[in-house]
Amino acid sequence: MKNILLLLFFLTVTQAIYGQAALSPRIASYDIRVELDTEKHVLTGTALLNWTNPSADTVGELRFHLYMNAFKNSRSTFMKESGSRFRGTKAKEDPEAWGWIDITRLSLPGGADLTSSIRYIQPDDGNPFDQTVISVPLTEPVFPGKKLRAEIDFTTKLPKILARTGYSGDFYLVAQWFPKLGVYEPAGMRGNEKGRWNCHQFHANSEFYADFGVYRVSITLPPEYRVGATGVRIDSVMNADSNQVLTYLAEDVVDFAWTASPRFEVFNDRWNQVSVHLMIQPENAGQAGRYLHAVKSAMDYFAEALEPYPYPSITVVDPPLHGIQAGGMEYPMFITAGTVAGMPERVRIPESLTIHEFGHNYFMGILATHEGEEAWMDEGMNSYFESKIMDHVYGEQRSVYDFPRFHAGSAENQRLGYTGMSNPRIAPPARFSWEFPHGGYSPLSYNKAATLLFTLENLVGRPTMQEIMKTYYRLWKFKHPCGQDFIHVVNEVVRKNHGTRFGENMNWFFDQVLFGSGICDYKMASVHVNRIRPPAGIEEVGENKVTYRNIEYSEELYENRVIIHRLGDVVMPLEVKIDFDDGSSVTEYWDGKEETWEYRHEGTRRVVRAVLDPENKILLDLNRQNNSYTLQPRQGTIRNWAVNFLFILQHLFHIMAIFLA
Amino acid sequence: MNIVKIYLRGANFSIRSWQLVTLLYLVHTLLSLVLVLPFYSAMKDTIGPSMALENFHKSFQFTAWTEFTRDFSQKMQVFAGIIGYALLFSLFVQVFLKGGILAMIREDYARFTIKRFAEACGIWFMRFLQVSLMVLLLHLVLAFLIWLPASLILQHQFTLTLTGQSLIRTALIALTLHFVLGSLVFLFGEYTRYILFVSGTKGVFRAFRKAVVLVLKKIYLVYPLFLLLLVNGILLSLAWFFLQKVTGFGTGFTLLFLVLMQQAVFWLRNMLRLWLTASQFYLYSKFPTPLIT
Ligand SMILES: [Zn+2]
Repeated sequence: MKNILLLLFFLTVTQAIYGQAALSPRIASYDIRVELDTEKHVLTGTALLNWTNPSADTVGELRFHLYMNAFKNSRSTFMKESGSRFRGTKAKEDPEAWGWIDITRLSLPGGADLTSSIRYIQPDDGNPFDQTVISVPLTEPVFPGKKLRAEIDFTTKLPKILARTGYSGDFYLVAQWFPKLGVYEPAGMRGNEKGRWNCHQFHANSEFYADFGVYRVSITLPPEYRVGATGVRIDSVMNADSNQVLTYLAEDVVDFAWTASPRFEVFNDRWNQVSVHLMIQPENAGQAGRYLHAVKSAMDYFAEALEPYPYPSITVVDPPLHGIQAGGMEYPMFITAGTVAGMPERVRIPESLTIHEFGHNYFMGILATHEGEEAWMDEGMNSYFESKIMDHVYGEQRSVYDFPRFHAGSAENQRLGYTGMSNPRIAPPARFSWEFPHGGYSPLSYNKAATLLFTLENLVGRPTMQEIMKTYYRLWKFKHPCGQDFIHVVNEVVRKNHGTRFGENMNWFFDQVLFGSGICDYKMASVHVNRIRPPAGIEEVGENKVTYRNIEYSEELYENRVIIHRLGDVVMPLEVKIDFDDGSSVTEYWDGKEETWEYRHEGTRRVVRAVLDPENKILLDLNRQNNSYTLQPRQGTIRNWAVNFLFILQHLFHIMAIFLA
Repeated sequence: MNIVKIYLRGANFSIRSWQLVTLLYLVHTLLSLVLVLPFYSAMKDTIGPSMALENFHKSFQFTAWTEFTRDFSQKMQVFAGIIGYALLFSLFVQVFLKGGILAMIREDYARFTIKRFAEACGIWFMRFLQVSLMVLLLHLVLAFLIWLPASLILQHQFTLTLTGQSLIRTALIALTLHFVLGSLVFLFGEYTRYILFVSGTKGVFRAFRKAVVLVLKKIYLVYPLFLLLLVNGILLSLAWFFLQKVTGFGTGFTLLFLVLMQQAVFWLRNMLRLWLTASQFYLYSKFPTPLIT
């Protein structure tokens, strides 16, 4: 009775508070009750799944992610792809270190028990030892637009955190913990010709893609634990065993994650109507202001650049150092960052992590692009915004490291992450995350993708780029866009604002730098200045033969040549600025297409220096050092460095002498 | 002779010994120049006609700096190897000079000639080399003894720590311990040389044993001298940072000023070291009664 009253109250209250119109198509919703055993690090729970068939197909099978099985043994695809990353861990000897998930019962309301028909499938790599995706054939198919209700009992053993999820001491970061339905993509969605399940295995580099839904999650755990989670806490009671039962509600989200630890210190703050929670290690409490400022700055920026944050809360988690592998992760309305004791204010790692992970709420969370198939749309776009926000809030060229004599900005850091690759041609950024050659995923999906968006912004201009992003977001939020959907928006907006100035469309740009793996490098090859000598020899003047010797120029004349080479395969339009000795300068435009380009000028002026791309628009250019050429080199900087190096060496020898001689 | 007089006498000696100071300064500088000149021409080669580094005097530029160092890093690798050899070579040179320096101190700089100086250098070279190798070995053993357990503790702490505070504490304790014990090793070596030089003790090991006893017994007398060496270094560095703040990133004339200041600072540093060496030596040999008999 008490329970029914409680439920009624609960429904009325949530309806009153959260009953606003749905923001998303709520295709897959979950009602989960789960209990955490903090001795065994085991979750036992029941999930009620409500799924609507969004397609015109009759669906006779369900597919689920069982991502916790990635941590079951060293033969899972995740472990294999991670390679040597976890070799140093003690996981091998310690059975407690591994994690797994079992479905103990899966049944439909009619009573059909499907548990025995569950089978593991490996759609990506055929690795028979990978148990991160299951297929469940249905006894009765789901017709177009119809609903399916399934009840799932599950047990999840949490691993010792070695990446993203698990426990470390009494700290829990519980993510990818319940059986999660894949996405049934109808024909026409994301370029599909016909409807299909999109349900990939758990990979080393990516994990997110799911339908929107409403999550109502009740967590039972010992009373001393402090809990933060996706969504809003709508109820908190003690049960008969003196454990706390916390209920969370999250609407229009694609996932649900939570954290628990008895040690957290909690800071509560607000941004407009959004409640901001920071769950921080007490020893790091001095850095709380840094986290809160970062997350609220990101909210300000996105509100202007896209739209205001649409959810009622955001929780930021500062994991303990012993569980730092759970840091730097993103879940809807719930992110983890990370710092260490004594982190200098001038090193803004916690800030950039917070801003980055918060940004994912827009890309992985609200636009809900496919992280596995098109990481550049999630990590890349998000890194682009991370850098824009960092540089906007903390200052260009000093937002990440901010010492008087050594400072670096976020945007330039992104670019250098890409240009510093040992082989930047190793793959195009548009590729499935698990198909990147070793080491290519991060610099290409994050750094190159962000840098190509910066380059696009520089080409079409900031107002046009702002319009592109705003339009893309407005059209595609809560709809799972794919790369072509974004490019379509780019083409529309650029054409509207610039006509055919950049050609029929911008496909030439994306074909080269997003779908192509070519590199861009223009080099100012040489600058020549030659005095033009008066002509020599004989010339007819009327009837007479005259020798040129008798002709004199009234002024000295020079032939100037500026030569540029295209070293890469990528073609970009360029400006070239040429300075003359009389203080004048000209700016030439080059379409960048030929292998080489030459500027010629004859006259009394002499070229002193030439710079290609003087405004640094083409950030994809791999080497900017070769973009300029001067005939009057100034060695001040390297002389300064040499002098200081001398001084350092003198002292080095001296100190060695003190201690050894 | 009281302790203040000893310091004063050391100072007096070092001021009079400007020729010796200049000699030490030149040796260090020449060794350094051997490395700096190719370093400079490699940098010039790397930057070529590019203007990428032209605005560094206005402000540091991370992009230009990174692109330059990336290009330059391969050449730098060669330098890293050479620096190792140069340090080794300079060690031999420094050990060689020590005999001469002590001779000049003992003779109170009465008859400085390059010839006499070089002779003394030659006489003591082999024995002082042995001392230096022993000291080097001790430093290595010490580092091993401190950092092996420290790293085990750090590793263990890492699995428990919430924020790394405890790791920082452990590292600081290990560093302090290393510093204190390392300075003792330094003093052992220094007094071994004095004992060899003054008392005519033949065996290096015997002299070393005596030095250990001396340093430990008279720690209150010998340690302040070591600390002064440290204070010198710190004061000079502070002066140096102040100067750099004033001149900024020097190019042209300010760079010239910078070079002159740097070299003056380094010359001064050589002089201060001579002051302390002389004071230490006097403390050992001329204290009311010599420290050890
Ligand atoms: Zn990310």
